[in-house]
Amino acid sequence: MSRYLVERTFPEGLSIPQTEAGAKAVRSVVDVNARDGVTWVHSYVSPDRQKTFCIYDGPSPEAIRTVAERNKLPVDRITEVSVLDPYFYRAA
Amino acid sequence: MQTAGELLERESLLAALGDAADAAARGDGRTVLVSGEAGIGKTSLLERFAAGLGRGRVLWGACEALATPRPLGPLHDIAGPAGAALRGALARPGDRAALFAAVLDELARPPAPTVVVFEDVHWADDATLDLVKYLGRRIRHAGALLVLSHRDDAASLDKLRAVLGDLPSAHVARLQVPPLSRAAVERLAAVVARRDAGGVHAATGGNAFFVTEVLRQGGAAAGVPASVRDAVLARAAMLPPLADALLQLVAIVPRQIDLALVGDVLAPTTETVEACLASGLLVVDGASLRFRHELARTAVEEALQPPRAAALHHRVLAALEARPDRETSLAARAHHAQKAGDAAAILRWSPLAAHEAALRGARHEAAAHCHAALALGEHLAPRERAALLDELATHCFELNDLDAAIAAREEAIALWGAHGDDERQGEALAAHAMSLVRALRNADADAASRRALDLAGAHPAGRTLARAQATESYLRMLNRDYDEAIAWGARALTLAEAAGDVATQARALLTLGAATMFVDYERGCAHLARSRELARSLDDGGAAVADAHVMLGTASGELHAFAAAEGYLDDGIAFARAHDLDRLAGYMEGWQALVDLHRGRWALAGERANAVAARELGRTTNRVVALIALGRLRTRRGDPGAADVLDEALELAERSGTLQRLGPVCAARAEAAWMAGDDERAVREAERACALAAAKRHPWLLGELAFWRHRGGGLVVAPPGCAEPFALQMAWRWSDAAAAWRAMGCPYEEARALADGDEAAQRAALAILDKLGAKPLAECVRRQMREAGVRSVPRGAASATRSNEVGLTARELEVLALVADGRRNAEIAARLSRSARTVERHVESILAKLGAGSRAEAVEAARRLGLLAKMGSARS
Repeated sequence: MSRYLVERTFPEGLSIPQTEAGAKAVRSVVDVNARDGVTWVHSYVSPDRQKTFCIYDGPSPEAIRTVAERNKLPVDRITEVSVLDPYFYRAA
Repeated sequence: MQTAGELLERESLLAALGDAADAAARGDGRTVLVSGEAGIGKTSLLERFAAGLGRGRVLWGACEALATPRPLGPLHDIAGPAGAALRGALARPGDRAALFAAVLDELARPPAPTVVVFEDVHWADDATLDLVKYLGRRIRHAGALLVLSHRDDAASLDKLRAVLGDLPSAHVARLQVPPLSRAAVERLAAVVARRDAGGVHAATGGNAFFVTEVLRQGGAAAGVPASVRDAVLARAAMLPPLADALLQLVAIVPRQIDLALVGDVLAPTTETVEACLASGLLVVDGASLRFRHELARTAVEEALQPPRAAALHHRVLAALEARPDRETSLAARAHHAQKAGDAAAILRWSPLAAHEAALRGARHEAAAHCHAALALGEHLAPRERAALLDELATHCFELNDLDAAIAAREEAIALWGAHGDDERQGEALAAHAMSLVRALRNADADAASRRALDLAGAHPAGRTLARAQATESYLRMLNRDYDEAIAWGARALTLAEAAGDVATQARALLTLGAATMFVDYERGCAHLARSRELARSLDDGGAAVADAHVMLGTASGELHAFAAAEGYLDDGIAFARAHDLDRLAGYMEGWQALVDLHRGRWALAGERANAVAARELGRTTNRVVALIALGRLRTRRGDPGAADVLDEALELAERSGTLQRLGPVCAARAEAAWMAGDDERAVREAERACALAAAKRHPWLLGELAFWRHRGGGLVVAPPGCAEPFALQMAWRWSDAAAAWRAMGCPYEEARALADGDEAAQRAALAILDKLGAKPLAECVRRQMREAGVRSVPRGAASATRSNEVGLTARELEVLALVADGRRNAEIAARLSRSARTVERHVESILAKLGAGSRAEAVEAARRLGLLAKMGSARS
């Protein structure tokens, strides 16, 4: 399982209402991801809500694209990443 | 196992089994896997389920813990109660396809549902595992229930993973039998008035068999033994000496021993038998005697002094040999011969058992029997030894254990040579070449094949020479030496026809056809169609037919005849799957991924390539093909991981040293380097295989490799012999090149050609690339257009987004919030620094998207959909 940073652009702005409908939309994304062994860890959203930076765990970049397609989410770029924690940094 | 009548804490498992049986009775067949540690109560559970079934019928088979299990042991168990058709098929050892089909027919026979139980499949032989896979994939339509029990320790799971993981998951249920709870142990303990149930539960871990063993000892004064072994041996020690001897005899025969054999070996008195039965250690099961549990049997067997055990095995073997052959399995005789350490007997039975196992397709078992006989060392005559080594090498080759196959065959070749048996040595050398080439040792394979040809050529031409020639043709074809492959193939074909050797005719046509495809496509396909027809009459489980599909599909793919390749591969994959030829199916699936990639079906290509790569973890040709597809796909999408898979692919390709592997890998690596802007490396990667492609006159690989050298600035003019679309592109005839790629149905390559063209062509390229999701090349084209001063370079099409359910844009949401605030268009326009007309258009659009007839209705709908709340949250 690898970790990926997925960059997305929403030219019209991302808006997920903080309502039951919004919660449902988010849950449906999570469910669709699970079918391909993909986990949406969390996302960072730009102030204008047009760019998102999403952290995902998944078996391959292809799986990330497959679920994005199914969820109708755009993908600009997928980068494989790992965690660097400055406060727990040690010499190897 | 628990005492009759009491089966605690198994209600939900029984219900699940009952549901599965109900579904099977409705025609929706399935497989149930029942797992758990030894002694946990799997058999008790299944016996209770079978007893309570109340309809249909149960066929019960089990695998035995023989040193080398009997091929299809459980099938022999169920054949008795099953129909005559199945018994007939089982009596014809060579025809496995017919046998497996007969089993499936038997399962579909009324009364429904037929429940087939195979116990202890962790001890199954290869042929039984193949049968399990065959049935598991087809059980659904047979309307039957296949129940498999197995232990869940690491070694058992390891052995079964490939088979059980491959069953269609929608029709498989997995049940795990858990240990008994403390409450259940307390209830059982109460029956024998023991008060230390907590201690018993802790010591036994709730293992049902262990619990009952402990409780059988009676009062708590006896304490709790440390292990199942201690519990069993403590009880065995209480038996009178004669009963102890009987116990030992039963212990050396895995699973069960028939009563007649007990009589022949030991002739025990009725009292002795009864003493054992009364102890609860042994039970009578029909006409045989067995331990109440395999755990107890192994405990007693392991406690036997080795000389005593060997003597008992001797007596059992003597009794078995005194019977007619068909009454006992060869595997059982070989087992006791080995355990008795009787060299003459091992030589008598192990080769026969190996032969039987091979006929059944139980390759691991066949190899194990060969090993047993070979271990006799100096007892073997050199010719016997050479023949066994040959056989062992063949089994290891089929098992893909190439190192072992090569080592055994080398020794056999030396032995045949020392005895001047040219014919056997020649055959061994030809077979050796096949192992070497699969191990990617092509040069050694060529040398072996040459020696085989020399030896066979020194004698009157016949079958042996035909086979050597067919092997040579195969090697030359793999090496893409078309003329030689065709010449050797034609010679082999003539000889094989004269000798009436259909298998070699099919092999000769296979390589003759594949090689011919590169020089005369249609003619080559015709040869392969003939090979496929001949192969249909062979009794090889469909392998030669599937080979013809593989050649048609993959050579078409290599020649960029993608439409034809797709058809051949589809048919071939379906055929290979239907015949459980997984290795060949996997190879074709890898190629199908490459074809999908070139035809622009990228999502499918990714899915297929990942599936193959996940299944094929070893260094195989299947894996190389899947890695190339993944490497190309990731490069073209700009996704991470391209370098990793292409590095691994290069390592594998370099082992083979052949154009067939190196060419596509180097082309893919050159493409990746060029895309990363590293022209120098692109040239270097392409040069790695370019000369080889030119020497082999491979138009497509040469074309692509030359193209990357050209793009990287390492080549000015296209060399002769390049495939046309690449040659056109190198001559900067982008329009003709694009048309050629379009005619072949390759959108990415078409766009790559258009990108070399004028502004209109580049716009067309961008449209194709954006649709494919080919970001890196699209960005490259956009950059070129901007640098050339093209104004209004089209931006990438925004993919479908879900910003909200009704599709309002961010601006529209902003306007909507102000409308809800009761503001007029003029106010909104002023606030947003937009014209009133623009705001008007936004409002129209909002009304349309919300299906509202007025501003008030729109606000109402927006509230209902939570759109206004969201605006609030966006601002906070």
